[in-house]
Amino acid sequence: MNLLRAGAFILLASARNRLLRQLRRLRQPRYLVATVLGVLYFWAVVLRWLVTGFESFRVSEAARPVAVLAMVAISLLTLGSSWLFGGDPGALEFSEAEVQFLFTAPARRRWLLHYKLVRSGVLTLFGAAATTFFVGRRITAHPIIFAFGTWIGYATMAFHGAGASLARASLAEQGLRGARRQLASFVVLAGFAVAIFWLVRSMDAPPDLDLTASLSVYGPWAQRVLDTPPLDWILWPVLAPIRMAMAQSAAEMLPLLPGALLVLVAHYLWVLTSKVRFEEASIELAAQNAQWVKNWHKGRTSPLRRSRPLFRLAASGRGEVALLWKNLLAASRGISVRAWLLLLGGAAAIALELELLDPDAARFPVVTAVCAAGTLYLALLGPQVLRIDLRQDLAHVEVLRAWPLSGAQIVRGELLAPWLLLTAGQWLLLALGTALSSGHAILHTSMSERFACALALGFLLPAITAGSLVIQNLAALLFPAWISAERRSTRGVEAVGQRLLILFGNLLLLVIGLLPATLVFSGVSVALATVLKVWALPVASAAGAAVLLWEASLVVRKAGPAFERLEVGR
Amino acid sequence: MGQVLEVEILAKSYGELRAVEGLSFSVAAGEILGLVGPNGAGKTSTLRCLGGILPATSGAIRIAGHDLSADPVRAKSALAFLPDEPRLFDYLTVREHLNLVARLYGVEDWERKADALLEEMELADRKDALPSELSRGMKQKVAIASGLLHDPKLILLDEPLTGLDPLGIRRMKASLRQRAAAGAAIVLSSHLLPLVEELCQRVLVIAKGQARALGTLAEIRVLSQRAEGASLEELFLEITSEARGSAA
Repeated sequence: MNLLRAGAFILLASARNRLLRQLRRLRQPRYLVATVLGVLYFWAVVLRWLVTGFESFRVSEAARPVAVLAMVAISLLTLGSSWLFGGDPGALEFSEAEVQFLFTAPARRRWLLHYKLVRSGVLTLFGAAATTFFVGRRITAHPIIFAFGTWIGYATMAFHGAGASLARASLAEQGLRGARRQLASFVVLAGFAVAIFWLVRSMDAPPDLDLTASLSVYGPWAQRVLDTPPLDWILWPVLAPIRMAMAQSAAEMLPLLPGALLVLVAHYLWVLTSKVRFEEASIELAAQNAQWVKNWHKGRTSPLRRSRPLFRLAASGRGEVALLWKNLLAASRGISVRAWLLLLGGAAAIALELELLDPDAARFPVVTAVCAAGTLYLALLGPQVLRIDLRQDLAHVEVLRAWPLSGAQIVRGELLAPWLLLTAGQWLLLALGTALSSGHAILHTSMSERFACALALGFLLPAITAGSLVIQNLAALLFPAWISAERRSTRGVEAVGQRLLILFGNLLLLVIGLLPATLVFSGVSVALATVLKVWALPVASAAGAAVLLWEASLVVRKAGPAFERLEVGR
Repeated sequence: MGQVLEVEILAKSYGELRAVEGLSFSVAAGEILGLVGPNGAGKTSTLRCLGGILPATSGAIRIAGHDLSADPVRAKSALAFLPDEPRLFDYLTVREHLNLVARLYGVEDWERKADALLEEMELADRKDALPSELSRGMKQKVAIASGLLHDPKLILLDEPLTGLDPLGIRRMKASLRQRAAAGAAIVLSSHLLPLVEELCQRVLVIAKGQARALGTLAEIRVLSQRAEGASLEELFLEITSEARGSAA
């Protein structure tokens, strides 16, 4: 029991200290502003829905079985993957500090499990709240009931993941003997496997897929699938919390509550009575987690890949090239799957929007749309995603400052790699999109006009990218703690406010920086339009880009001393 | 011998906190100076100011004749700063770290020197390893090899033996002696007083950011009015307890 109290003390004291630290920081104006902004954001986006209700987004009664069936499918996939690929590490995950203080404490191992399971159950509250906001508001008018049911479901799945981890560990550790010890677990698993097989075999063919049709068309079919015996009772442990979450009133929910709680408690007891030695795996997990967190701070979540440098770094020459070489290696070895997914996902989303603007695909080729979207994404959002510059090297400022390079040289060198990569990407996509648009009519433009536009964008967009990169690196120099906080994926109202401030600050500075370039662009294009026709655009863009790059170089020169003044390790 | 490092009335403040106050000393070519003091005495702040990592609040620092404030690039070209915690780039291999340093300091024959250093540090077979594949001690050796590649005239070391195995410690001590004999000036900050006593010709004791004693062990004994055989540890405890007493 002492360990449980100690565990509760860790949770409560950590939460209290975090809150106190944030409150103390409110004395500083910048944190106060960030907190106010964060509160306003949460009010506008999240809290408002809890107060006003979700009615406007509710799916119809007829479509509700579709939502239930989707949740059952997601739950089964999650449960299945915990057996196939290992359970949710979160449930039995100990931090390195917990390993040091709790594993050596004079307490029975069962109390360690109690502590982790209770903690894991409490932490699933956040997941349930997020699901309620993002998903629940679209399928139910009762957020509190939905959140409660979702929490029970998530806690059950977290315990199930822990149990699956222990069962797998038992099998790996003791082979057949371990399998005998986990016989009950494997019987239940086999039951679920049969259920999934049954589900697939017994399903009626669903109505033909029609994206424009309402979900309610599929409602009767989904209800039939859920009511198919014996699937309905085999799936009962999965359905119990889902049905509870989907209840439309307290009176409807209360009779479902005992069943959902029974499933939850059964899972808790299953894990608690496991005889598997989990300590060793937990210690390894703690080390892996510490490394993962370290990597996340650096903006990547995947291990580094081996790759050769793009070019050989000679022993003499400009120092900036050394930084370019270093950061290109960082890009080729360290850009995470997350970053690539963000890049590709963003491009695809914008492409979809462009397609929707013009549903006649024959007039707007998909490849050109994807290229155009990708180009815009790289220019406008690429600098936020590709952080192989000072933002990445904030942790190494001590090393960088000892190098025999001026501050301006370091800032310039750090900016080169992301700018060159993003520019190369933009040019490649522009060339590809323009070339592949041949043979398609796009907004009544000729190929010559498209080339002129592509050339204009080829001048202008890299300059905008440069401006954006300079602003973001300047923010890293002036507000290093905020940029670090951004990297640490910190939570809370203040952190959200900080991110909003950085985002708005970036946009504002970019708009201000674009003003002179826009004036020059407009002046040149108006002056040359009658002579050069559409070809005035690339000339004007080149002039505008030159102004923007000149502004960026001025800021970089000023940022040098800021880098030299940056207080390290404070 | 000429002075490689000259420090005049160095001060460093963090807001209201004065970490270093009025520190003046110099280190000649071939000399190893020990920097000792209790926790929070200002040793790391001093070393970071000397390495050009932190801007000094006031005072002057000259390295190999170059003013660190007025001509930081030339001054830094002559020094190496080796922190207690090796800070390596996760995505560069051991050899690539040396390649990077070679470019930054313009070391033309870096490959030959790098091979020799890697051999000396017992890292020859790990030259293509990433930092994540190295132990704490190996990372420390990579940081040391990177620092020594350009034959610095001034070497600043903050707890240099942390994480090294006994053989590594022995080799590191030999290497420091060898580099001092070749003309490098070395400032070594450590809590391992026997190490300081063994390697350093002179010792600077600081407490609460101020110099409390500076000189050879014999000179400090005279200053402290202690007997001939008093160890650095005894002298250190006496001097720093005086500082604590005067502060109280």
